[in-house]
Amino acid sequence: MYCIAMLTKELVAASTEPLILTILSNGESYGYALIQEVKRLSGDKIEWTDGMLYPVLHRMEREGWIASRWGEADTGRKRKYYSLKKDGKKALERQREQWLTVSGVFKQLWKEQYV
Amino acid sequence: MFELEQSIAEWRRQMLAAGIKSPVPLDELELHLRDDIERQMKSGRSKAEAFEISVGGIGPAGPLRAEFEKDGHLGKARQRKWAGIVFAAILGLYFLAVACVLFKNNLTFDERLSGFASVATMLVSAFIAWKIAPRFFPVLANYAVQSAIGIIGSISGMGWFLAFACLILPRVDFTQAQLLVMTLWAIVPVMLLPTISFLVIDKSERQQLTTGRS
Repeated sequence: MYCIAMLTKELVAASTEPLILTILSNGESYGYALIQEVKRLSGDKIEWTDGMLYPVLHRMEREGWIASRWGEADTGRKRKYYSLKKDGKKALERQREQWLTVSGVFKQLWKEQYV
Repeated sequence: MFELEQSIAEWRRQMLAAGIKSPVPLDELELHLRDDIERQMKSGRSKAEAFEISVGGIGPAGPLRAEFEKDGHLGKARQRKWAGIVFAAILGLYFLAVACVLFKNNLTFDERLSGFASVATMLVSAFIAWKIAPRFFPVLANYAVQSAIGIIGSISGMGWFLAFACLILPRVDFTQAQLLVMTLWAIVPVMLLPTISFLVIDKSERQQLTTGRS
């Protein structure tokens, strides 16, 4: 994954899977919508190089975290929809705990530092 | 006059030429491209501008192919893991079969011990070849050399066993028990030679995948 905006590409790469898992935990979605959603939620600070999302999605599908199906959009255009599987929910839980731990540590450190 | 459909077809050809040959990701990328072009046009851009921006957003074919290859890399890692499990299971079954044969036949303590020593040698050698020896194996960049090592490894084990059966055995006078034990020792290289050649090739392939050469 490349980051065009403010986050480093390493951080963007590390957060890609949990972000996808979290969005899909709210319901099925497709590649383009996932990118737009992340862009919107991050205030344009996370911008994936669009094409790079698909290898990640395919990898996650092979891991058994997500499933895909071909469907049709309202416009009649074909779309590949992704949804979260049971193993994906477990993976999300694990990753969520890790991110919360890191976030919690930063919160405490920076609270002490800037008070 | 800019032709959108023609430009998309040309972009697709470029992606194919760059190595993204699997139809599913390419179809998906094309649908993504069309979605983005549509969004760009709704925000007031011309077809040509929308196409340029959207193609730029997807990115060049080279890095994309590299990302898809990483996926293949993971698949290979899984295959490697399964191959290891199957190989360990075969060794385990072999050990059980040999133990049965050694206990069912009328062997002296020394003969039986030698028979088990042959199996232990095979297990220890396989473990060393798998865990330690790859550090000292060369990385073979040349595919022809890799193939040659594979072929030599595959036929050398069988070649050795044929030589043992046709040239060595007829010249010595063994009892049935000694013959059994000797055969067990003769099987050790049959198993080890192909294993070592496989591990040499495997190391070379992994090294090439890590350094990005396919």
